Amino acid sequence: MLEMMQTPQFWVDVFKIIMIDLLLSGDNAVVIALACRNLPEAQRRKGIMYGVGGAIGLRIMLTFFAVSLLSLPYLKVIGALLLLWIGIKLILPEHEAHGEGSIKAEAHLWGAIKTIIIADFVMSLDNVLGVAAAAKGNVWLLVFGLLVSIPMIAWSSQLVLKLIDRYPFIIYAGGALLGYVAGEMLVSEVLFKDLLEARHYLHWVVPGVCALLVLLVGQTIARRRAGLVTVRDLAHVEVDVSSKK
Amino acid sequence: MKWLIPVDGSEHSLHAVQQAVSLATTMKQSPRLLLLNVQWSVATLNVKLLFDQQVVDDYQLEQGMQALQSARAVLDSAQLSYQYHISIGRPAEAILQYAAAQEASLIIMGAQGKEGLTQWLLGSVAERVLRLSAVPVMVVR
Repeated sequence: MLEMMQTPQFWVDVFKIIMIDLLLSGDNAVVIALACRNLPEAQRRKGIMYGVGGAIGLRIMLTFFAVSLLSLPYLKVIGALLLLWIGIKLILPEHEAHGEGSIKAEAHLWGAIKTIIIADFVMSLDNVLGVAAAAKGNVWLLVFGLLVSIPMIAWSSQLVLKLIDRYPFIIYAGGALLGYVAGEMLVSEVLFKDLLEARHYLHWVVPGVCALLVLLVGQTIARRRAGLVTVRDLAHVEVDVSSKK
Repeated sequence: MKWLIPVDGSEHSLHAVQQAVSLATTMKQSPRLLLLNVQWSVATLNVKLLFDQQVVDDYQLEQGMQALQSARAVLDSAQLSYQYHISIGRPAEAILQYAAAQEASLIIMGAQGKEGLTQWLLGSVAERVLRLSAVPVMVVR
């Protein structure tokens, strides 16, 4: 462990994992709050607590599941493709589509917890895959990635969302990083071992190309959907003293 | 005359409301007071994928009403007429847009919001409004 910490590569990986965790788990807390909205006051705290606990457990399970799956042949290629897509998705602007999800806020405790678990399953997949790829099978890094992401399940100040809005290049850096990690995953696929041993330069060319690919595709789609974030009105009420008296 | 008072539920914004009230009561013709709360959109891709729009809107409305509560209490107890409005978007831009739409003659706001870290990283909303506003802005310390 100590020897590992002395290599610069280790710290680069740590940085990658923190970036991925930050970019891919910004909305967990909001989802939990939404799912527990309709619970009676007394049950709401309970719902949030169970929901957070369940989400953490699920994320730990998914992480180890992902790691063992990724050691199988072919699955790294699929994982890499998924990561490329996640990177592109990150760059795409949030076009003003209306919510199309079918989940309503539940009025029962178990219903709310079920909602949280389903929601977290969907949201954890991106995060877990990204961290698993960046950790490259290193268990310490994997656990570190998990530990960093857990507080973000319970706590969110939307800081990342606001930062991204102000400094959009964060999104591009994040997209490129996910592309790079996808490329690294691709070159570690056992199937390509012979090919890569002969041409060592591919170890950095492929990740580089993947990073560029994410930027190019993301940018192309984003430009087509261009449009500024708009302001939307939610409520408007007049309070007149004369009518109240 | 219309005075726009953007609030976020923080001490600072409440202080701005109190200042506005004490100024308004000295005026010969009482100005129309407009309260505004802007909520950052929480509708990320994942949230949209999972939840019905109505659930998200209800949630943000509730958050907005909470942020407006202390300011409304001040205006209610001062027996002043006012209107309040909640919108979703970037705070500074939404404030300026609402000021233009309502033809506000003055914007009165607190110097800082409630978020320490965000503000340290991004600068305050008041700074941005001050820089971009077409109408006079009064920043309350």
